[in-house]
Amino acid sequence: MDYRTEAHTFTAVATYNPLAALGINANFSYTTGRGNIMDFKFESMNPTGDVKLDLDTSAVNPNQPYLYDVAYLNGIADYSNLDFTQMDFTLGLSYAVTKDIGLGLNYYYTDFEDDEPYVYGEQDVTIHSLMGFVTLNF
Amino acid sequence: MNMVIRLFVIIALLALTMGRAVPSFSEDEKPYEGSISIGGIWVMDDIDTNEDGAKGTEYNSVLDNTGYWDLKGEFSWEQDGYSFKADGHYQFVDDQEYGAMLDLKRILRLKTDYSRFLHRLDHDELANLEAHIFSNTDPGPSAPKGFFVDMNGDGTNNKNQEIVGSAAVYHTDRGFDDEYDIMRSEWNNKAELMIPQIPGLKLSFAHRYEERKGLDQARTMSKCSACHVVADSKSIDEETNDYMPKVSFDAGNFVVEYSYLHRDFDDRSEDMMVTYNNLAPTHALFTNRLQFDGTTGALPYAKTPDSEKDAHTVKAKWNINKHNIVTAAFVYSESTNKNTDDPYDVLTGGFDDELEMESTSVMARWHSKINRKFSINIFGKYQTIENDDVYVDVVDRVNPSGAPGGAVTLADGYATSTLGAEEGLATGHWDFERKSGYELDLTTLGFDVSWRLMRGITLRGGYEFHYEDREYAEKHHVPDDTTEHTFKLDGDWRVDHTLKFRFGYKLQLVDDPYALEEAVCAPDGSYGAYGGPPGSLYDYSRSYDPRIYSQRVGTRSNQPETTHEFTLKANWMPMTMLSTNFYAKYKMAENDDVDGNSWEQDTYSLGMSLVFTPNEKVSFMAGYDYFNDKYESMYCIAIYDG
Repeated sequence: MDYRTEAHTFTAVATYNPLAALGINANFSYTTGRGNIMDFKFESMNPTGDVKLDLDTSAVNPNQPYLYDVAYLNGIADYSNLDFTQMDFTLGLSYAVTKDIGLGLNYYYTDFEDDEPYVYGEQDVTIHSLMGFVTLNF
Repeated sequence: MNMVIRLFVIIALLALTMGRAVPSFSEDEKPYEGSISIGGIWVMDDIDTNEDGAKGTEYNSVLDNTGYWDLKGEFSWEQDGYSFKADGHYQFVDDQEYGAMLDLKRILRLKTDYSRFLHRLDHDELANLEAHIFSNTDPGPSAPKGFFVDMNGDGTNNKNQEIVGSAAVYHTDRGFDDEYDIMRSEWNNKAELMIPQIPGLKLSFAHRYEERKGLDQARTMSKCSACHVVADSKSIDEETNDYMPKVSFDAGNFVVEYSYLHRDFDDRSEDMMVTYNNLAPTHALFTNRLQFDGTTGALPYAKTPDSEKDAHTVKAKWNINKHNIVTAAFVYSESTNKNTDDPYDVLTGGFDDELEMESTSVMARWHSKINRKFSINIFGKYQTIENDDVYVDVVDRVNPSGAPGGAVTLADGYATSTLGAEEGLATGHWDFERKSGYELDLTTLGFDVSWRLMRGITLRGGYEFHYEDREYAEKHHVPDDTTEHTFKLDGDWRVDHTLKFRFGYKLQLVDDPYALEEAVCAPDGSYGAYGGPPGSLYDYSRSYDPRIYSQRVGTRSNQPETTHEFTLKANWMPMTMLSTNFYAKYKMAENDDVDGNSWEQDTYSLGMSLVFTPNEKVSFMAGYDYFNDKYESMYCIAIYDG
């Protein structure tokens, strides 16, 4: 079997000071990640000499048609996938009222999307937050 | 939100007023400076951590739709050889950082720092652990079969819909409503004393305190009775204290340092207990060989033992002359498990004695600068690790009397005796002395050279030999020893003042990498014949050991035999306002010396970044990183009943 993981990450940061007292900064990052199992192949084989892996046991127990069902075993690959994206964005403003006093405002955004929810359930989350502050230098 | 904005405006006005009230020094004469930042953070969403998962908010301490203070401060003061610095940041009770440093004329220096953050964890609902085959017959006195699971919760055994075979898996999540997170904090303190009358002598004492507190998920599983996976919430309360006194003396060309570490790890977390499932017999007269099951009563699980570590380290450095430097070190450490000295009970981890591990290592390095263009390092290290042995008194399960049909003797097909008694094996035959797999001797020798080929080009090469000798390899079915050879070659090439490259190649060859021998089925594809239902209970030739376990003669390992690693980095700065970086790495690892399919791993990573600063007002950075890993191997699963 093959197990593969792959991720891409894009980042960008920009700062701009249009005035001596005013600063603007922005940060952006975007990540996608995937993981999956491939070529998972159990076949009808004889693991114990005289007994086949998918021996027909329906006559013994109609609730158990096969000793082991190779279709179900091979299906493990389908529910072992990971596929997610995450985006983070921050925008900040800073303003120097005087040499010693400054004001700031920051906005934060995070968005996480899980496109293969299985074991841990739905993992999607989006969150916005705002921060404001006053700085006094002495 | 309105409250936070009002608060913000009030604080801004106060700050403006205070700004005018602060007494003024001239910039040149002011011995101190600092800043205070007062603010607030408001989360605009209401995050339901129960539904929304922990992935995107793993390290967010504030998630409720309310406002929180965000306070920061810095202060520094320096005058006449005395200096003091402090900084702090508080956002939430679980998101704080502080630091301070006091220097008294470079004779006494005191430092402290503290940080704390919240780590949100996932809650594994175990919903995927639910697969069972229902019995097709009612359990009766002659054919007790399977295990009753109250699927519909009505308290009644609904036979065909609720008797699962022993080849089944199901789960119970006792903490299904709980959210998991751990608060982590660390506090470091250090005092350094340098006595002016004894230059070169330095005394120091450091203390580190680490704490983990919160709620996490603990899991355990029954066996041989359906695979019943049980999860429960465990209250975590762990603390670690490190005490590190140190003394060093610098005599110019010779420096020596001694340090001692005493570490105490205390786990005051909740004790977790569970009563495992009873054995689910597959057929009549199936004898119970489990060490424990439900009949044993509640047993502990998910326990981290308290431990202690003491380490002595001596380091020395000798500048023989301006071309040659020798460094050496000696480390001796003892690590102790403080929970194994409870009265002997193999099921609760009590072994009448605290188990210890000792490690002794010596290392040395000689650096020689042959000339302006060529230098060499030669190094070596030897480490020996010893562990205490443990006597394991296997639980001797006795078959119950009163077997179905009144069978009580071997002739009846049943017997009240311990495992192997009918073969003449005395009680206690299966007990053994566990020899540790961590009895090791490790030897490392190597050298590396650096050669400035010409202006702008430097080449470096190296070789390292590493040998591991395992004392009790045969008992643990691992190789007796492992030999590794590592070859390295890398170089720097500065083409001109705007462009430079760095490249590297590493080759690692391993003889007998760490592996589990007798791990998987016979490499030639043959398998043991299934013995079928037992005719005689004590016919050893029809039991799992010769038919199943002993057929596992194939060796498997996840350690590579051969590794190739290539790296390339480039930096290009065509003008002062533009800088670009590029890196690429490829690693190929494989092992052909395993039974069954060989395995191979290919890992690629590359990235680039660009920084553009056209003027003082604008700057821009962009980057891209790529990662790809492919692992080809063999997947083995155990396939027998139970």
